[in-house]
Amino acid sequence: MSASLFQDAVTLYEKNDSTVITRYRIEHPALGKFCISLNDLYSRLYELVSQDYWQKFLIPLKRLQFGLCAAPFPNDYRFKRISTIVDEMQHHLQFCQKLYPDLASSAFTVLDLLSGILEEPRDPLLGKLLELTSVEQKVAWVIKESRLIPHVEELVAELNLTKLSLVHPLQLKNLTCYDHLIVIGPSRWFPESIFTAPRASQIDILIFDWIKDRWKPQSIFVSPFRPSDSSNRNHLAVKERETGSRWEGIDSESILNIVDKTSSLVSTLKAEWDSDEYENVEAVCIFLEGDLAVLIEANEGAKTLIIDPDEDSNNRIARVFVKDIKSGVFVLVRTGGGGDYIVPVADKIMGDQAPQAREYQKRWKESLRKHVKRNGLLETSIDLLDLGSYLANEINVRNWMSPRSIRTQNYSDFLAIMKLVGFEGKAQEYWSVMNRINRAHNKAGFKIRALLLEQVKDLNMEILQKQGQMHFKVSGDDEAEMTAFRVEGVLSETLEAPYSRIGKPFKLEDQLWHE
Amino acid sequence: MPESLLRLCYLSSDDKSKVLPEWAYFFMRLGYQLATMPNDSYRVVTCIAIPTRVFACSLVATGIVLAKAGSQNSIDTMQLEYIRGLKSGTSVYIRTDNNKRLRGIVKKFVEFHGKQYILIRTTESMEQGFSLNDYASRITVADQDINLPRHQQSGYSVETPSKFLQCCLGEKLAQTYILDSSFEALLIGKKSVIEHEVSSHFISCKTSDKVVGVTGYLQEILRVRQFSGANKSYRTQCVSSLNITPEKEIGKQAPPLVIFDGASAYINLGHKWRSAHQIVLLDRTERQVADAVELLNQSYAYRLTGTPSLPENIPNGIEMMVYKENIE
Repeated sequence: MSASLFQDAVTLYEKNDSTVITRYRIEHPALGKFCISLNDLYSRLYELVSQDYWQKFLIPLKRLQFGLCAAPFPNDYRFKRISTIVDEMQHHLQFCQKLYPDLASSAFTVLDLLSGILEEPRDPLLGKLLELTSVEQKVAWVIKESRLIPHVEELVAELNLTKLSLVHPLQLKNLTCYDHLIVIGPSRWFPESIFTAPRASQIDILIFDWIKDRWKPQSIFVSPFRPSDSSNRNHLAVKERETGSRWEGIDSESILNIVDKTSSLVSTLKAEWDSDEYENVEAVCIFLEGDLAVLIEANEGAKTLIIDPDEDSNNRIARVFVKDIKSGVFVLVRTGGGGDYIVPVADKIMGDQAPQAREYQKRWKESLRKHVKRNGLLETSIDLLDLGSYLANEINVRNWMSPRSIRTQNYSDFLAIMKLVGFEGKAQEYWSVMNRINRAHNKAGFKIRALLLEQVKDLNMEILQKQGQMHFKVSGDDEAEMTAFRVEGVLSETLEAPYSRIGKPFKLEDQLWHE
Repeated sequence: MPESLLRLCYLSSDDKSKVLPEWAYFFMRLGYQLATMPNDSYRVVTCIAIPTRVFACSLVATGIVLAKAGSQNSIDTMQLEYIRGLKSGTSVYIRTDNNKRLRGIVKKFVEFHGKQYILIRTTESMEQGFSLNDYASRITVADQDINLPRHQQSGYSVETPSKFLQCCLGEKLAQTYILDSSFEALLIGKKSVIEHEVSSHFISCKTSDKVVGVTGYLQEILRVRQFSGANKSYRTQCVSSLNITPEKEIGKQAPPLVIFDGASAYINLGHKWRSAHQIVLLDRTERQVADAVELLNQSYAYRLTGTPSLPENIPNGIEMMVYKENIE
């Protein structure tokens, strides 16, 4: 028995009762000049921005810009990263004068200004953080992205701040409270609940003075109930601590958005598109933290495994319809071996029968695909309808060809396919083998879910939230290693993608598949 | 606010009984006030944005059941209607006058000298008539079909109230409270989380001499059907927000009040039980809170005029919107 849950809630409401939010602007002219020049170049490039040449120049610089605005780094690491990028980009710009004479000087200016940061030995962001962090108090620095946290941990290890914690914003959903939260970066980067459901009575927002940030607390309801004596004080307000500098501000979103995810995805897929259009499948693109993405097949009724940290331990692992995936959940993707995590486990369940069963599955699908290539989807559908199929249409035929699907829902459709590809005499035998695979897949789905549940049951969700991703082994070998990635967004439209790319995470900007 | 609510305390981390904070009273007071509102031609929708969902739902429910506990002398018309609607063949438990529990199967309803009776078969060959007015609250529908004995049942002794419940309600009321079923509220949320909250965390009740606190669990007050042993009397029910057919779990009786513990509970099941008052608890840190707020703000646009009277003091950190909604 624990009495602390109520006590924790009491503490949390006490923090809410007297929260003071202060927005501190930080001066760092050298970094400011670099960021503004980069922003200006971005505007000047206009339509050229999406060109590969400029993407290769802009993305590393934008990533660096975000990092420098979002977290303090150890000096050595900071200088090394800046120097490396300056060197690499100078090399990248060697023919810029000839290729883009009107833009070259702006691009070189950006690099000059970036080099200027190296002349500034101190980091004003770190300086302000240390000034505000009391060694006596329970303080947490709130860092926008999980991947930045290890670098800051390295820095903090040398600072002797024993009561300091480094937290990801989504860790601030639970009942852990602090004396003081220091949020690094503009408020728009963070969930509003950090400020409206505060886990500390003192919250400071640290932001460079060239970044626009005007967020103020507002009612979430269209008509909040106001008691007649108005004893409910709308106490939340943001105190401003301005600097003397005056800049033409940069939008906080433009610093955050390093990669144009949609266009990067489209160009990635174009480069990877299979020349055989029938090898492509309808897919949903899920954007993951750290500019990663993964494609998931979007058949009607297609489901995928997720971890929902908001759910209780019994319901945390769920197989949800792909269309129901929301940002904030963790999508489970097979990272050891191929993209489909069910197949190897199902094959283990089928044992010695697996190779032959898979051969049967491959054989009828290939035969159907050959027919489609010769005659097209429409004509194949009509042929199947003539042969007794009920559900043949272009979408269903495409699904039936997909290696992911095992068989048709109804035997009449399957028999029609068998007739079409000349396997009529063996239709029953094929159907029975496909049923065997289907049963194995169902069992595999349950088994994987059960194994994951076992691992996730006692998992501290705060750790998962902090790290943003986590590896799981689901059947004792690397072939069934899975990784949970935090979902940042889902592309609203489906797209055609090569089947070979389904379920494999990849980095957006460099178009390399992530291994 | 009734004395029973004021007696409740919580145990601090050093295990000392402490007076509940303002926000806890706010939730209980809100439940108490909503419980006394008529289920009429309109319903009241109360939307509350809170910094954490912890204990909010269980405290609102506590206010509701304690408000109703004091008015148990009158016949619960909803329970009466519910029992009257039972089909022949339904398996039930009946509490007799000497606090024994019998099992039986509903045979039919009859009227005799202007009074309505329910005929229940209690052995393979015997039927007994029970006055509906007297027995409706003492009849509980069994979770599964029961077998009737050949011979007359002596019945099982039913439970006695805990010291904690006696402290909260007084000895006399506590006795009937644990024996009668009455569906006062439906809680929708993460079932295991709610169960853990109400069944694993002690709260205490100050005795009249205010020296010693008697400890117990909120479950003793809430008597959530799904968290009790099978076939015990209940006051509230709880279903998962992921349950798409909650009627199968709670039965056909519509709840007078529904508490949605979280945005997803409201998004998934907010359209059900049109006549029930709604209390929507929105933890601001929840992922789907913006979606739920959007739905509620849209629904506000179609409200009826007039604002129901509700707690005057809203603690800091809590935001509330209240409106009436047509249920026809």
